Amino acid sequence: MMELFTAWVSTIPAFAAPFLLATAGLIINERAGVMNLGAEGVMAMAAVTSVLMEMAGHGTALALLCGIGAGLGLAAIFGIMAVFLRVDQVLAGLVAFALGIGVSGFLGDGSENQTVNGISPPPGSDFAFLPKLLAGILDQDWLTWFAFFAAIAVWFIIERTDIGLRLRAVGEDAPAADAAGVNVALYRFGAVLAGGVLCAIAGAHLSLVGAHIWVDGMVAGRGWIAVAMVTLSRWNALRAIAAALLFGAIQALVPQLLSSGMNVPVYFIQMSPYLATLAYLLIAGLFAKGADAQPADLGRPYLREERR
Amino acid sequence: MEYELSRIQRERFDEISKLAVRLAEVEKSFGPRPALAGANFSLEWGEVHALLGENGAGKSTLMNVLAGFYTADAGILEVDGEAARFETPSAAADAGIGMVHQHFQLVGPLSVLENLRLACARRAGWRSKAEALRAMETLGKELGFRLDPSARVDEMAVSDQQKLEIMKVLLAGARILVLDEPTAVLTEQEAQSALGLARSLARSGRAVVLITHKLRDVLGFSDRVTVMRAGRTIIDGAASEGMTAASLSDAMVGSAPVLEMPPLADGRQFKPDMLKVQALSVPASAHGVALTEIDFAVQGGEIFGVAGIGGNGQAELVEALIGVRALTSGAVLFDGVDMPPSPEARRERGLRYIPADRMGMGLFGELPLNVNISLPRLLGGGAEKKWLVTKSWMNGLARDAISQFEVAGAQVDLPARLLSGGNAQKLMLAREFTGGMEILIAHSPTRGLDIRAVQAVQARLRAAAASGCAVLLISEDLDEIMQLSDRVAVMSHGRMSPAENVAAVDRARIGRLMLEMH
Repeated sequence: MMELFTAWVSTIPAFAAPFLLATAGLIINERAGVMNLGAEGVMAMAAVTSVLMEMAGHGTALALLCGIGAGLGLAAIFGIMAVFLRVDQVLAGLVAFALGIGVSGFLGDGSENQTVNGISPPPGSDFAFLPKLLAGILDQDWLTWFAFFAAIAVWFIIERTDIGLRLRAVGEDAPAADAAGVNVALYRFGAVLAGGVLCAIAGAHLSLVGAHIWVDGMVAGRGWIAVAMVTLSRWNALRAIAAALLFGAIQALVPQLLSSGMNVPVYFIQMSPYLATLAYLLIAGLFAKGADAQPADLGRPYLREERR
Repeated sequence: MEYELSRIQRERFDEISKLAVRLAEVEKSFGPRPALAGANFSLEWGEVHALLGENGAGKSTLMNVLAGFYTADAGILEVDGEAARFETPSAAADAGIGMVHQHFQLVGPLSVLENLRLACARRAGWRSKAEALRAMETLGKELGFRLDPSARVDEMAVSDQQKLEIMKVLLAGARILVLDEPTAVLTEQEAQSALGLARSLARSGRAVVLITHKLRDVLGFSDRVTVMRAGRTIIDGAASEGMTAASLSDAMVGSAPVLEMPPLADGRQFKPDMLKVQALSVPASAHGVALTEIDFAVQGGEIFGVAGIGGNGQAELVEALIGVRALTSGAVLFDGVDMPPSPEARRERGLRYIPADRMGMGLFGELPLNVNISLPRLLGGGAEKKWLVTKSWMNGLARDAISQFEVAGAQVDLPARLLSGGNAQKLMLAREFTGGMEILIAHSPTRGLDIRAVQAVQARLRAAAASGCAVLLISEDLDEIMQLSDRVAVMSHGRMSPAENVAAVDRARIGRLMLEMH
């Protein structure tokens, strides 16, 4: 039993990392007032591209960069639609989602289920001197470590720096920010791109760290869960770490339970992350605490001479 | 005796005589409708220049061109003697122009200092929070007021938000200040000090434009005045001293007749206690005021005025009366019977309501006029309840309302948000003045409207009273209260003073009541 527990706990960070990266990325988006529902598509694009590049014989680092590039491209398409053309953000997000899922399926067709090296934790433990449980938690690959540092960096930039102040102003009150001399469109587009990079890394993490293969549909709703997790963490990247660990823990339970031979229906286990999302939204709705942190101009396109 | 100006004196003279701003033949259209049709304006250093005009005359549009929010379609703009064209507010700010809008351009959830850093850090060259704080304190001392740098802006009083706006503009290096109706949202005392501040800013060598439609602001506080009407300049920078209220209002409204106040018939029949409020108490909400033991009664046929500085419980009282806020104790009686709890049922009993925030709580900005007019009729008032709603029925109602209440520039399918302030309020009145109206609650019904719209609204309120309706008028404009009401009470800190006959009270005492009842 103790071994099962250790095995479970040590896999939590790697399961939490994609959630955390995507959520941190979406927090950047939403604090600037842009709601990006295309995260799932961006993740899929990055996941397939990075695997394909590695299969083509490029190194893992270059594969990751290409994955980021592919995700960024899709995020840029979304950003142009949502920020510059002022298409309805929900609609633009759904377009980006559908496009990402469709194109990734097309690109990955015929390359499914082929194992790549990807990114793994260093062989042998760097923390062997620590108790086993703690060492298990700390022995992670570098991309997983990056996810946690990225979340802290996102929090610091948004809450403590000059750029973050402008970003928040754009998301809370675009006309006021404009009057204060902040380039609203530029900041929003920048936020979409920065958020897109993090969502793309989340997707590449899934295929390079998590699965070491590409399978169509492997993002499996994590992008959507990340959208919900932005609310759960109340637009705060530090709280997102806690939320991601919670969802990572639930997700990490799935393979443990499956391999333990316990007699639990497979479908029930597999739907547990979504049940957790639903449960959270229910609880949040009952206590209605999430809304007060929501950026006031979220989802509202801005055009200077338009009367509001 | 003959004397020559020294070279330095001459240069100083040239500098002083140089215009701060010159706008000539400026044109600007939104869609097919011209907002500016050849407007002129000139501003000298060291003066307070009043820019006067009705709603929609183009004052704000012209100043928005100067401040870079709009770009002109045609015309000349010179700042400090040099031709300029501002594509962005930021470019105008670089040229030393700062505008304080009627709707403040502050980011509500951020703090005072964060707002200042956001707007001014680059121009003022602050590298740290401490530097920003120092600059803020130095300026505060110069202007003679203190703001808490860590206060959240959306929790501050409106007058403090305005001070912050002025600081923001000055710290960003503005030497030409445009104040868009700075007194519209302030009480008497606050307005006096804001206008005094404008004056001292001008005396310190800056130039101040005061957009207003209050004649008092012009006559009491400005050096020169420009009057606009329908996108054109009617009076171009005349000295304010020689002006009279009559000459200015003539220029403002042109030859169109100003609505006469219909005298209220003396033989009105008062019906006692149409609306009776007994020991009403309401708990304080997050940023609001608690109401304590409020007692008053409004007779049918009278206008009952409630004076007071905004934010002393007026909003809470109104919400309790219309049924959207729960009472802790007390009762609201309508003609001797307890009011039903739901807003819809109250409306059906004859309660009508003109909210202070007419776009937020009154009209549906995105929906067309015909829906705005018809929807409430479907909700309350019984006779017009129906399940099938036809476009022709809605259009008919809307057309009647438009013509009867003289809503200018309106079509039945126009979104309500595109109406100007005065016309939106007329639409609001048309919506509420339906059959079965017995109690009317009007909260700041004339705020931000021009003279003619004010008079139209006030005439409607009087007509409602004359027809036997109990009218509760809540306003921060003491002139309006004194002019319209039969009886007056004052709200302060969630309490209400005993009502008095308007003929028996004097302004000074009301003013003291507004401030003193702690």
